[in-house]
Amino acid sequence: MKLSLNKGSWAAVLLLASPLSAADLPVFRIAIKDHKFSPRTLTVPSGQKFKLIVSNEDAEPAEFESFVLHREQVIVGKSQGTVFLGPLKTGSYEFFDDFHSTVRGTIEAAAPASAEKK
Amino acid sequence: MIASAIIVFREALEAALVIGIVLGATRGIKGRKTAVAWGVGSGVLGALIVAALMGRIAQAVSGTGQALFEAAVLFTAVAMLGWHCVWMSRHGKKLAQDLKNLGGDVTKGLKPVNALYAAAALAVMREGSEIVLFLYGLAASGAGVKSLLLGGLIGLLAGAAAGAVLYMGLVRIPVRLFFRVTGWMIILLAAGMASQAAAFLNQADWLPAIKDSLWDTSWLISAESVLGTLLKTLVGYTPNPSGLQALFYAGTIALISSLTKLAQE
Repeated sequence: MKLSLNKGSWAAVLLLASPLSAADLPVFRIAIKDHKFSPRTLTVPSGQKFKLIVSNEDAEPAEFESFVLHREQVIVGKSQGTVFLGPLKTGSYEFFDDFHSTVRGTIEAAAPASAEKK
Repeated sequence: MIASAIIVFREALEAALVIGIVLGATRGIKGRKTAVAWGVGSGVLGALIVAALMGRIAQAVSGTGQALFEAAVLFTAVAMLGWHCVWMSRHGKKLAQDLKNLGGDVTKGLKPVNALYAAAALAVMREGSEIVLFLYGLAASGAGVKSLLLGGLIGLLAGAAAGAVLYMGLVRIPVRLFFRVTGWMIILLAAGMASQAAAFLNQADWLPAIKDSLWDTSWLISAESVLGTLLKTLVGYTPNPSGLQALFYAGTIALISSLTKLAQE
């Protein structure tokens, strides 16, 4: 038996395995204040991985959660949590505070050019 | 009060279903009731500790500590469930035989039961810590403690009732099918946990999603519905699994079922 992986698939394997340096990723921030997300709609470039820092400025714990994005991050009062996201397809993605489920927000992933314009 | 009842219900439901399956699957094994009490008790204790330390856990590993912690807890539970399946493949026949002949709790070997209860304890710890943080938050924001606790209690009881219903349904299954059914339930439970753990590893940027969403059935059963929560715990349902989640889900089923086959020989 000969291992028959061609160059292309080896490249894919390496790409999957290589730790992408988190330092180079764009950083976006969402704050939770008075049980509201700020901004309520965060625009990010589509097709690109990014780091999202959610800071909870309230005294009570919150949980940043999104079913569509498969994210769940408990953030105790007066602290912050880091969530990596993307690359996202163009579109809008809902998230909410699982501890106060009426508190909701959206991430809008837009093609980079239009995201830069804002 | 209603808000706290609903959230506590959702978290308690997940833990109660795991306990229901675990209790059902260890039917016929001596000492399982003591074991479940220990499992739940240590799970509650663990939940309080985790809730108290959550701030510090979250700050670890440049802010991804919580996701990594959740993934580690889930993978440990998966290993425990898998170990039980392997043990059952060796001893299940004898257990079913004893159960048929004698009816009551007959078999000694408590070791693998402990693995299963460790898995239940971990489920209680995970869901419980969220309940603690949530209730603490409401209390801190000045909501009436009385209505809060009442709501929490209602939620907890409703969740426990669902677990009890599942258990009572399980023990009605005829003995000859019983261990096969509960065996598969445990495998699916483990697969669902592995898929959740994979999502946490992706959240912490340790593994790529491979594909964001393979399909989307949220129009049919949304993740927010009670049915969605039920299915999420029981069979790992998610309306829009990522490629990574599907890989871990299928991989866990393949791994546990082939290990049980190997152990049988």
